[in-house]
Amino acid sequence: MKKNIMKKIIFATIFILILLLIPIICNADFGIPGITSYKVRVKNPNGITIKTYNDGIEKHFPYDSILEIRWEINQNNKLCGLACEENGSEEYLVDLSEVELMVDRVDTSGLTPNKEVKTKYVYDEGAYLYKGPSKLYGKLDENIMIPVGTTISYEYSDEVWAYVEYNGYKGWVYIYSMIDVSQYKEGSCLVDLIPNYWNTSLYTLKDIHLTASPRSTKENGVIIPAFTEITYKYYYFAHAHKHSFCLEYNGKEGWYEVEDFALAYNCKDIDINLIAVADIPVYSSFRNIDSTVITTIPKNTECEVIYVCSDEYDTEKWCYVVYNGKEGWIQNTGEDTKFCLNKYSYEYNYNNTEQDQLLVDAEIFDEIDGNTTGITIPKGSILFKEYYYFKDDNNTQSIEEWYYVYNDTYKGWVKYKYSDWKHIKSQEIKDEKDNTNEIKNENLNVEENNEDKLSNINQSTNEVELVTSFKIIIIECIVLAVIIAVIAIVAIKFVNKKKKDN
Amino acid sequence: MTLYFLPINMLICLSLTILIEVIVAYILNVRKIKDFINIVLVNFLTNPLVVTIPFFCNIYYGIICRNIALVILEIFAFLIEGFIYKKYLSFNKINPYIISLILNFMSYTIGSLMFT
Repeated sequence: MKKNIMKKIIFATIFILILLLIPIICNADFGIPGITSYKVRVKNPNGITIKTYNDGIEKHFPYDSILEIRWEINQNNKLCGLACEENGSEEYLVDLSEVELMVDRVDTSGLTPNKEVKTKYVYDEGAYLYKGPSKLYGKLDENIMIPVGTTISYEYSDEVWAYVEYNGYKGWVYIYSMIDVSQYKEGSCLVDLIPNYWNTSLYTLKDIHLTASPRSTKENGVIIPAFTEITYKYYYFAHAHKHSFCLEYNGKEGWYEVEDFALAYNCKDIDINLIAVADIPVYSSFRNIDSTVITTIPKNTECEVIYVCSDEYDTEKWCYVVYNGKEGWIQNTGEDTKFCLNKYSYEYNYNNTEQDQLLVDAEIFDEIDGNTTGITIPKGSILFKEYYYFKDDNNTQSIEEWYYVYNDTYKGWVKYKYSDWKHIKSQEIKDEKDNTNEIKNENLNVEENNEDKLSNINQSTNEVELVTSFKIIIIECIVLAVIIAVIAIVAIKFVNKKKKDN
Repeated sequence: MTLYFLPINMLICLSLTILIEVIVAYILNVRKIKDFINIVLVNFLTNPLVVTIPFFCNIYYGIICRNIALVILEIFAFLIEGFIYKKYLSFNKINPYIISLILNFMSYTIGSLMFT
């Protein structure tokens, strides 16, 4: 009897342990080597003395000893390998210049292909083909290099090297000289994901000389002439003030590291407007305030923006605008703000889907300085913020922030104080509107020039639909659970009734 | 987990709970096929509700409500299962409520550990 109980206890323990092991196994890192392991032979006639990687214990390996390299690392600019003896587990740090390869060349025989064929884009300075999956094998040929911009597909790879075929040559390419662009849409960033509303249209303001890669200064011979409208394919963000665009012109591709006033954002398709906060002269030439003044945009007037261009730090900004059928350039400088652009940036087609609620009574003015008499907007009003005006006065050490706001009742400039406003997400707006049954009326009353508002409401409706669909799923599942429960009760009764009958 | 996977999640939870409880019941010396059928059917009765209602509470009332609901439902499941075992289980070496407690405790603990 006791033996029987012991058996059960052991069985139960094993069962529980197996169950507990499942998540551990699922999350386990089995330490699979990043590279395909390869064998090397000690070439020094005196042998080599090397240390174990973990605890530094030395061991001598005589000439012709065979080691298996399972990991490569760079140490003090030397290519080193973490090696094990044949069938051993202890890892030694080996300077790879002290050993030689057992084979000269490696192909894919004996390797398992990847689950799917991967396609990558060669960038940086291009990629050399190597004879095997390590720099130790050496290049296939100094003259054979896959140029930047080539799209390469491969079936065999480890975490560091990929076996590729290029122009009939087969070899191994260092995987980090290629970028996987499959997840990016054209016009997106190679480094960070950029929302799909990013504006990819550009306008050249001078001749643009393209280079082979985003980091390279070596020109590839492609020149895009000034005043060409172009879209970029990829965007490479090096740091805040240094970025490059991958441009295609006449079927040729190249990179351009952005310089001040060389490229403008083309805003034709993304509905960017500005409002004048002072009378603005419109010049006939770009960055030339001595050129002819075509017209003047009066203070507090809105006009359409075609191109926007600014320097690296956004202190000087030029916009090509259309006002009263006349086109020309206007200028903004850090010290002299003459206009404010709508949206949050001219770089992307930002749909303002969020509104702000006033927590106090506020005064709204026709003009920024507030010289005109203001009208009081009552506490609780919900408004869209359209234009932002910021002035940092170094002389008076004061900061002025204004917002051009609007809703169906009010329109004008409000002096901004952070604590006076509460940001309302589109969902909250929608809920609030649902409660008061105002959505339909608002949709009907939206004026043509307020298309944004309409899209906001549509977007918030989509969000509500998503949440609603979640709620429907849950309710459906609960109904399903109840049905299953009822069926289970009937089944239990049936099974046990049958038992009694028997 | 996104809610779109809730039905699949329900299925996984149910299968896993049945598997664990049947094995634990076997360890407790339950041998009759009818008893196993009862254990399986009782799980069909309680498990989907125990899985879905906390989700509902989470979406509508937040995580605290979800946790409270989960505790109440687990107790409810234990009592219902105990009651059904008492009524229908032919295995009478252990008190049916204790069987219910052991089975539920094991399935909940092992399930939680696995999902964690």
